[in-house]
Amino acid sequence: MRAEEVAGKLREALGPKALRLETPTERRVFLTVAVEDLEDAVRAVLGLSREARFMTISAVDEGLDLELLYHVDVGGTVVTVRIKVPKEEMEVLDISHLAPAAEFIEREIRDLFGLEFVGLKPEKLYTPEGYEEKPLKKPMEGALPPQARPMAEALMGSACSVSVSRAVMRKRQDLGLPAMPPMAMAKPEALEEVRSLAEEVGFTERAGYDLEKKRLRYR
Amino acid sequence: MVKYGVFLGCFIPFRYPCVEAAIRKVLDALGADYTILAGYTCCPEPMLTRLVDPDLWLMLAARNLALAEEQGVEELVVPCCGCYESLYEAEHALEDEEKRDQVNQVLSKLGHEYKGTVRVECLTGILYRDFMSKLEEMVSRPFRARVAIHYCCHLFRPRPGEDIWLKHDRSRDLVRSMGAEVLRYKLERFCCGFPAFQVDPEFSLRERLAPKLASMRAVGAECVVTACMACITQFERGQVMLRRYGMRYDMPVLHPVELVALAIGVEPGELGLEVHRSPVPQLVKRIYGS
Repeated sequence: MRAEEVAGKLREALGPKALRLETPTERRVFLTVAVEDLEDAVRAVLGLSREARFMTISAVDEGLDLELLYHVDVGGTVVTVRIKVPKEEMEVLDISHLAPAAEFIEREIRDLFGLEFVGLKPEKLYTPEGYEEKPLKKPMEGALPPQARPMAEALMGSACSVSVSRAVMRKRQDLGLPAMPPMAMAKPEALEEVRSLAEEVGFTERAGYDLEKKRLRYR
Repeated sequence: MVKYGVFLGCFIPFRYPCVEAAIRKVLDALGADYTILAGYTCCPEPMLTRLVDPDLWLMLAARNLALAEEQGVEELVVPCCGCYESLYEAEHALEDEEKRDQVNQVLSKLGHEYKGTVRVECLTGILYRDFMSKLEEMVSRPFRARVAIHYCCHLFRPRPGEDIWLKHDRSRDLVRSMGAEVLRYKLERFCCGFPAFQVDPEFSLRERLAPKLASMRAVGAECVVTACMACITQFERGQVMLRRYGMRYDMPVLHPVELVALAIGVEPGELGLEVHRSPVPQLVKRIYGS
């Protein structure tokens, strides 16, 4: 089965759950889904053909997220289901009930990265009992160097690079100036514009800025 | 008459309202047609933001420029050299039509468009270019002090074909015409150390700020004048921090527009100079006796 055909069938089966479908070559398909849609995605891929065969899972520590790549051979075309598990959660569904061979690699990933597979049997595979280090897990770090983090949070939080104190606002009034200058921070809709622009240019994702919590995901 | 828009930035309103007061009083006294830009964000600051995420930097700077155009501004007057660099570099980058189209595609979702009609200029350059003769006539209380000018690194951004020293020469001539004696101290081009402070405060203070202050003191400077708010912060905060290394300078630090305001007769009490962390009020008292 060729990549385009596979992609078409997956698009049909998963609908909007298929966040991204790429076919870089005739025999390669990448399917990106949300963590909660993993089971549906793997089921759809395995259901493409009776010859579909689970191969393995690759884990990549990206600093803030753990990327998991589930590789399945579908009649000579390799389909990879890609998910990103935020390190704040570090939990994903075990798929060994769909593909029993996944159990070994899931246990290995758990031993080396500390990722929990919900439903997976607790025995270790790779590291000795009593050894609790996760040797391949990197520190929770994003792209911004420490010096740039306060600036990034200030920009996203108030669109201003300095903090505002009541004393300065009083001083401004003493000088006959408006307590608050006409900056974006004085208008919620202007601040929202700034966050939209940051999201639009991909800054929030690149920098690891959580728009809901209004802070970077790391210190 | 040119319609000016003043881009106050972040440091001026929230750290140095004395500079904002001086800007407003000087422009009012000159009868300039100006507005304070509304709805603006941080320029954004030209070092960390531009290095770390050039896309975000350009987008926010373009939004500021678009706001200026929407508010009828012809020249965006920037009192801080750091903001000037950021906005001027953005103006320059957006001369590329492809880049401008990309930026406008995003801005248009929020109802903005950058057309490229507004021109970015530094405040000292505007005061020199458009108001010099008027200012000279208005000097009623010359600022009689020996001044060392710190020509901020960010100001070395000439327009195509422009002399790289033009803005600095204008700053010097402006300060001189206010009655000050401008001293040469040999380390004019030396960075104050503010950027390095983010990474290595001790290096920034001992290897950048201290030699600069020492050379200023060696030629008899009574104060530092610089138009960059980051540099003012470095000179003022840095002098306090240098005391821990046994170095004490007590050098007042002013923005040129404060000096202009004082020279044209604005009362020191109207400027709130006590906001400075260096002995500016003492210097002013010595010069004007009040």
